[in-house]
Amino acid sequence: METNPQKSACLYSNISKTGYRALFILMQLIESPKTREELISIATKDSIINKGLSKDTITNTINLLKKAGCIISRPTIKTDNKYVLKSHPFSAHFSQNEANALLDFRKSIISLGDWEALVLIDRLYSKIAIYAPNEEFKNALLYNSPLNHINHNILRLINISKEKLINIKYKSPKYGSEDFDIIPHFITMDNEKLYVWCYNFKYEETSFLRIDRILSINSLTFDKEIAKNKDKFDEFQFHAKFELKGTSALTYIEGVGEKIIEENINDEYPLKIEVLVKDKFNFIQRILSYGTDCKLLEPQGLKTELINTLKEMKGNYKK
Amino acid sequence: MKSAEKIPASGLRLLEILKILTQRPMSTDEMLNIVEELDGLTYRKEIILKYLNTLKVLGLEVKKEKDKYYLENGLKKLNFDKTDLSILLFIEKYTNKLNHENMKKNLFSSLHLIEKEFSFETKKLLKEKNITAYKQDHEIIIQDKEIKKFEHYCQEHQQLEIKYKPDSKSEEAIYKVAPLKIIYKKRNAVFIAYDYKTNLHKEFLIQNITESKQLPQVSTKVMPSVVTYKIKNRLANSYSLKENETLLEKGKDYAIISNKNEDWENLTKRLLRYDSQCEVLYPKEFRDKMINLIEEMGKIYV
Repeated sequence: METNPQKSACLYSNISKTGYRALFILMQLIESPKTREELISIATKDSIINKGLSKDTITNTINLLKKAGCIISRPTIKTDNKYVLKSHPFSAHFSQNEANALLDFRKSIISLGDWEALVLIDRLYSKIAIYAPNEEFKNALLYNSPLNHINHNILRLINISKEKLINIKYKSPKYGSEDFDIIPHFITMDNEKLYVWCYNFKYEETSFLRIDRILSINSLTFDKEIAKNKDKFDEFQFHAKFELKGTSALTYIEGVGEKIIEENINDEYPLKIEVLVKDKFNFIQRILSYGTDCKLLEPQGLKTELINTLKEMKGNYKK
Repeated sequence: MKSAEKIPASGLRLLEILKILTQRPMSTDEMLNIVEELDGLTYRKEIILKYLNTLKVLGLEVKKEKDKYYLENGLKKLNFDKTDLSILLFIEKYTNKLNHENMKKNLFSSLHLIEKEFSFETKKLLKEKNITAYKQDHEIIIQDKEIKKFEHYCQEHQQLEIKYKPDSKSEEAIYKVAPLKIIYKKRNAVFIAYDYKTNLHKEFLIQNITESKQLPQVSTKVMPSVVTYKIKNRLANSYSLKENETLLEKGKDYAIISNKNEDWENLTKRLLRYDSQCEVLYPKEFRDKMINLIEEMGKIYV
């Protein structure tokens, strides 16, 4: 688009010079902290200011910004002699209702167990938390997520190491800190916790490990063939069938390795589900959580274990 | 002597105008009032146009609609990458499917504010790259048809009588409740209310509420409901407290936890997961409920 030189000249002449200077310096500080000398140097190159500013002018402008509500820390050795803008009032903020809606939205995604969406939402919220109406909402946007204690670098490494051999340091609630090899297969979110499902070499079994308990990834082996030859993840899995009714049936969402095999709203249990069980302990926990809405159909051995668990639970209350 | 205390008045007037413009649209007269109140002097309208012009020269998009000026963009520049934009589009798509008027309105206005703060690079990225919304494994289907009625109930604070049928096989039950709030769980709208009969917080799937009517009485203050339970061994060492929980006692291989205002049905299901590692201590009604439930579950396999 061509500009009209006359109009342009008029636009640039009819301005508040002190106001322009203040906002110009504010914009520089929004970008990054700067020393007085850096601000003078940048201002000299600006076509409107177009002159070297004195040290006093910079000081006066900083004071003007402070008077208008900016919080700017003084240049010190700690800040490399830079002015650091902590906050400013020239920004729109979410209302409390808007911030609450964002928090409720995240909770609805948590209920779905979609951890990948949650990672992205947390990342987005960390960028928009500056628009929170107050510190309380800012902290809620930043930290009210079940993934708050997750080391995202570890999560990323596990996610890219699927079906590869890795060595991890794990903080086990039973044995304390221990190192072992695993081959990760997939990640799930269960009861607001993130788990990696893997073949565990130390215990020679399929494990689901809480990702927030993985302290570090010690080594990664990128050759898929090495892992493929040693991986026994599939050896420990088995099929199971269960039925659901009530609210559990209404709110059921298919998970990894499971499918609805029969659906009839006139049956006592309207949903029949087949699942490839990777870990017996985790599966029994899940069946228990459905309460009387669930009936485990097969395998028989697991049914016996479930009955024994229920007896143990009942025994807890007979003291 | 502090020479640094000199505050250029013209600059301050401009900053005050900008401060308010970032929050709401303003007419020239309103802006004039602000600057006049600031230093008790009278000014001509031209001074406002000069200030608006200064903002434009600095790259702020000052727009006018129905005599009021507003800012199309802000000072903060949000630099989003493709991933951020993709999840933002997902939120927009999800919001479009909601029938919850308030939540929808507030989510859309939040998204609008975010868009206004996009940096030039972010705008360019959104325009030039074919960015698609984050895609979930399952299509977004939200069960919230009757939600508007319950949204109004929550705003009006009248007591309610509702008939609830948890599923097609269950008996219909009548509850007298105080409406509290609506949430979404697994894409279902859930009505949270305080049940006067049991003095408990209860969650109702809105799609299963068969009838509802407002009562003349105003909702009275709700009493907190507390459940205390003990967890043992490994679970006690690895347990993370929920938002509504406090740790009452912690021993070498046990922990006692107090849970406040959780729907008993939901809490039961969660505690059942912990099998024999968990024991409900208080109140007796909840302890009995747990024992009965375990017995009923056992009967399924007899």
